[in-house]
Amino acid sequence: MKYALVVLVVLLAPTLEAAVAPFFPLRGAQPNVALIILFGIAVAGGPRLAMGAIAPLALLVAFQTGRPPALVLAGYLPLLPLGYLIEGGRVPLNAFARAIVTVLATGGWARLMLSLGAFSAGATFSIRELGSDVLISGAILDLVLLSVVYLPLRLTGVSGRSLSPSRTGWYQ
Amino acid sequence: MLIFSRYSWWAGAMVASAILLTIASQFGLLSPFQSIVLTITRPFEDAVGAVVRPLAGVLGDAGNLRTLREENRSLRADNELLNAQVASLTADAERVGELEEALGVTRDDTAATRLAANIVSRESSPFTDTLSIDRGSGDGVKVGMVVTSSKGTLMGTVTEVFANRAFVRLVTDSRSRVAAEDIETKAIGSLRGAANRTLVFALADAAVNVGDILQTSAISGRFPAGIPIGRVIEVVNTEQGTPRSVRVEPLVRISTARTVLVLTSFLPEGIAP
Repeated sequence: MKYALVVLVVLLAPTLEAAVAPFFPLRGAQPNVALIILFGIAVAGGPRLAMGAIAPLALLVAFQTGRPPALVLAGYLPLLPLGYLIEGGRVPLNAFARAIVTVLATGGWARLMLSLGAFSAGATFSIRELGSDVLISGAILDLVLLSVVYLPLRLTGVSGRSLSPSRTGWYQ
Repeated sequence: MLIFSRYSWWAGAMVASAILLTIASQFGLLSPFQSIVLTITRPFEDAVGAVVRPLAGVLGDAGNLRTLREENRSLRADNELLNAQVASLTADAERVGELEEALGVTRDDTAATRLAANIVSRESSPFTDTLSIDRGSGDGVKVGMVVTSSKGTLMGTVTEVFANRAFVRLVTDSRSRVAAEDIETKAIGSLRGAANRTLVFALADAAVNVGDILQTSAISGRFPAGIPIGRVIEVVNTEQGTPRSVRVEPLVRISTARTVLVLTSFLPEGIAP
């Protein structure tokens, strides 16, 4: 049941990324719907499930949006290791603060990767637009979307799982 | 520690996958799979888009109320001016028709064949601006074909084609380059997308004035001549009087467009018929 649900979510997330996210832009950025869904898979189903979901999700997002598949995959890549690092870090943060830092940092990295891809394909480089219209605007959108998704779940008692990959097998 | 955790092996595998995907993309090995995915997901995207579009429209309009008011005021002024021009041009057209008839001049049918397509999704950032349409190779769409708005203003060119889907690079994408001509002064130059979704008219070989309309030039062989593109909104001249920086606003409001036209009768140079 859990796996069927994850497959369904992985199939649906790229459609939301392609058909819904562009309708809610802020300056030059749009919310990173698929990344937040991937984070949701990680905290709700465990990091192993997210490790398996990341590649097909990235590929489907790339196919439906026309983005370069390798850059989309590379953009999502820091999510789990970064979440794991922050979890074990010395700075005491609650679950929501950890979620914010993890998602915003990964979202920024993902947008940076796509922007670098665009620059290498001939787009005009502009550090001001990259900073304000892509990275900061994108972070605000991700923060809003994460709050909308995450806080109601926490309030209803759903607790997030650790992002530390266990060594007890894939069936957990 | 991270480097001793299982993430290190997994991250290595993902980086290797990314490299393989890059190679596969370069050789077009992913295109058949992408075509299948786009075919399967099209009904879902249409359904989701139909639900979200009205809601997003209301929210967007509410957020842009002040801009919309200013735009409305400007459009009313434009409308008055254009009505006067239409009246004048209608009279001119009638006069030209009479003269052609008197001289026995026959006119070729230059009507272009256009294929209507719905916008499925849009991918926009300050550096990239693309959209996907629900027409593809099955409808005769080819890479390089010119895409206009429903009113005939230039929107972009087709960059990727699949069975029933095509991706269009808009003129506002900073990777876009269009040979353009100033209707008033006949200055020819290159129009490229700028980071803030305006356009920059570069290499203009004559004077350009604020308010001038730019249209496509056939000089590059990639566009038919005479498709309107945008209006000059700012000109910063050098001391020698030659334009240094010319900013152009697209005539079409791309964010609200839902339907586009693919110019199927014009094939850019280098595209096999």
